[in-house]
Amino acid sequence: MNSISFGRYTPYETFTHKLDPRNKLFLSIALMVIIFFQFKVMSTTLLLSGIYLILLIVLMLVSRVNFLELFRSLRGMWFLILFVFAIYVFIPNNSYQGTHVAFYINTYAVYWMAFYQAGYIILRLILMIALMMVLTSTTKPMDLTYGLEWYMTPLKAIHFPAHEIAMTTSIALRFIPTLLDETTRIMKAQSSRGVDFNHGGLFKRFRAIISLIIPLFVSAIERSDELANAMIVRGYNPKAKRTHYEILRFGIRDLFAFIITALFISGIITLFVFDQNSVNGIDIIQFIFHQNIGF
Amino acid sequence: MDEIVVKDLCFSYDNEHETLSHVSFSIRKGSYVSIVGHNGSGKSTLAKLLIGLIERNSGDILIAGIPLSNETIKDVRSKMCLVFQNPDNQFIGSTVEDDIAFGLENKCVPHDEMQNIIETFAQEVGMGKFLHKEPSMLSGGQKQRVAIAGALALAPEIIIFDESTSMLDPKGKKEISDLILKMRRDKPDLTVISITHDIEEAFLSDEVIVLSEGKIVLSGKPEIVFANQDILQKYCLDMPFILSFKKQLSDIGIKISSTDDLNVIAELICQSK
Amino acid sequence: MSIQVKNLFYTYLPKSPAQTEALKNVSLTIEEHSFVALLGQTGSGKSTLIQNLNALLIPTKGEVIIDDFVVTSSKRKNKKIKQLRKKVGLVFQFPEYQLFEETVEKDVAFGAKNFGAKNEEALKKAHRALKSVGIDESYFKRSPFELSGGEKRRVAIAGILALEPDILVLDEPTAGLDPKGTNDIMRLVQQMHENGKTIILVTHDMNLVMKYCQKVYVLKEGELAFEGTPSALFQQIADDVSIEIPPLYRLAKKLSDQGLPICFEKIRNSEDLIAQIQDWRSNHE
Repeated sequence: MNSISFGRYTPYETFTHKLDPRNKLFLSIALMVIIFFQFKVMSTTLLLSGIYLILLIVLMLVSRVNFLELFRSLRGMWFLILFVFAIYVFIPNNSYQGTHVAFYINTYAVYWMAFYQAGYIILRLILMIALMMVLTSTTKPMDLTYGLEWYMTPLKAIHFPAHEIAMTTSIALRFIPTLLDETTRIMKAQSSRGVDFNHGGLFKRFRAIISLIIPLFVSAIERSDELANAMIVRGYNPKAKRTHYEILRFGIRDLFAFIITALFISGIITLFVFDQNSVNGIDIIQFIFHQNIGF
Repeated sequence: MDEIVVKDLCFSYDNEHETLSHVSFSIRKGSYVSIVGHNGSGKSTLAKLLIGLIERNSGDILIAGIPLSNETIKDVRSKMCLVFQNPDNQFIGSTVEDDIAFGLENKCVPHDEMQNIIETFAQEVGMGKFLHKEPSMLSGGQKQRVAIAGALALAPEIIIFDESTSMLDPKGKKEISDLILKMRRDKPDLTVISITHDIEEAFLSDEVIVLSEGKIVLSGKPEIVFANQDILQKYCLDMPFILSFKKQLSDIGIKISSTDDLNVIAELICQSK
Repeated sequence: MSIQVKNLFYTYLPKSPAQTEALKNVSLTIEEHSFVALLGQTGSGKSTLIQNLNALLIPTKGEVIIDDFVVTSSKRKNKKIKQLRKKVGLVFQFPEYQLFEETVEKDVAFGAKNFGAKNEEALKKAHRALKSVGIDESYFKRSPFELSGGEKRRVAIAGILALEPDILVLDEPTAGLDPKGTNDIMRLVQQMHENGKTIILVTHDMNLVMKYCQKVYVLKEGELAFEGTPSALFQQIADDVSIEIPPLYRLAKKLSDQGLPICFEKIRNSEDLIAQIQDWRSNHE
């Protein structure tokens, strides 16, 4: 009855939805990597983070990503966020010496740098999560599997079971709603026998979980056996050659997305190089655009 | 021409109890045969032996003239399809079209031909508008229809239904039953074997084979095989309603032999004073 | 202990885009000690209704009254609700999937233990229940996974019987069984009825309904579409509510249409109809 979309895939027809999953995988990873570029000059960091954030928001809007979902997952991590801030703020750090102080707790100095560092970490976390959301909400799990399979193909040369892994993954994905339904059914059957899944001490809860897990396992094993028979009977041989019905096609949109992302990334890498040589990023941009941002 | 010939087939799962004992029968090409029997009579085991999922202990199996063995099994499987009992546990693809495609992929059908074949057979089973649907959105009957489409797409000579309707509701059962009759009309050369314990379903076939305790105890046309209530009861089977009722009518003096149609039977009863 | 359902509404996933109203204003009363059937197409709301009877689901609106248990959307007393599951034993379709213990007797005793029975007492109840479903003592210490499908099903039913419920709700207890298996299970159910339990049978098999049930309730798209005897259902409304009329009844109807005096209420099996035909013939001689 309830088909829960794994990774919250949303069935729209946006630009991002129509991209080849192999392209999306590659670009996502590339964009993910540059999130972790550490810049020395603070103003560059702030500027780039800002640009990245804005572009990501635009991407999320184009892909019709559910912002509410994002906030919900962040809300779920409130403890982690607090923890990170606490670490940076309360653990003394000598490199802060000489920078501006935010306030004092008794005689302990809390520096703005602490907030900045912690904030930067959290920001990168948010960017990562948002980027992942774009990927999973615009790409069907099956398509992701096909994409991964394509990347693993060269590994077949060293007998890496790429196809088998992809087939297993795709079957597992197909069965997620079925298994969820089965879990509900078993829970209801056991509840009708007096099992309480929500209350009770450790021992009782343990018994409750056992009464759920064992039937699930037994049923899963039976299911696998029947599935294997069905696959054999339909001529399946993982070692033999097979043709493919679902073919991934790289299109114009993919080229466009690739070029744009490539430009963006090269821009960042360039700034990074300058930054490593302690050149102020803002200066570069001012120079390029003949503007005086006046920082 | 005999499409399937089984001679002296013996099989046992555990060497204690013989699941199938000296079973011999033959099935003509293009016929619709039901294999019935109580739970544990060996019906499903027989299906699995025919398609080589398990290996027989002794005896011969010939499919379309090819003796079944480890060497010929691929060949044999290319001529035969099996539709299982559980609609979920044979649905492999993530959508209807992917599932039908699965068999075609295994058979190395060229990509360009696949779309057409998939659409054609999905249409034939009435699932033409469901190509992109996921299995979790389908009823049991719909999933079984997809399984049948997947089987037919491989152009088999023989199709075996292993209790394919026993997990379905009446609506689903009727869908499959109607589909089998349609297949019989459209493809008269297709040999259909239905393994079932649904007597009313078996009554519709050309020929019935009754298994009990691993042996064939009766075989022949349904009207003859199902004629004797006592014998059927001995083998834990029911009598089809029509036959049973006609027999009871005959016991009170109303003989109806020409028809199985309820309307005609009602008329004949009224005229029988 | 009769069951009263008053203006029951149930909505799945309320306030979400996938919201579904599964039950709409269903009201009915099931008399104590009766043997009734709950019918309807897949999706008509049958399983939703039975889950409201043992508080697996709580009504969105309306109430269910069983003895002194009242289940409504507003009241939510967990302990009390648990006790209701002891009175109303619910056996799901393909119940053999709930077996998990090391031995047959432990699995059947599991339910009784959950309701407070001590080990020894629970085992005693388990043995009683197992005997009543025809499972021999030699099976008690075996693993439930060694048993055949039919035996597993009986063990699963025993698991609910061990709770000693007054009301037994069975969802398609004969699903997937051969004729002998069906007969065995139904004889068991009839035995339970004779022992004083109220039986609610959810089924698609009209032959069973005709043979065993005194009254039927038919759901269609979440509403109660019919309430009455099986023969009343088969005579009049069956087509409307998508119920397949058993061939025996169809024949009886055709005979009645042709002028024979058929008393539908008295037809439970083919022998009854034959007897009526014979009476008519002898009166016409």
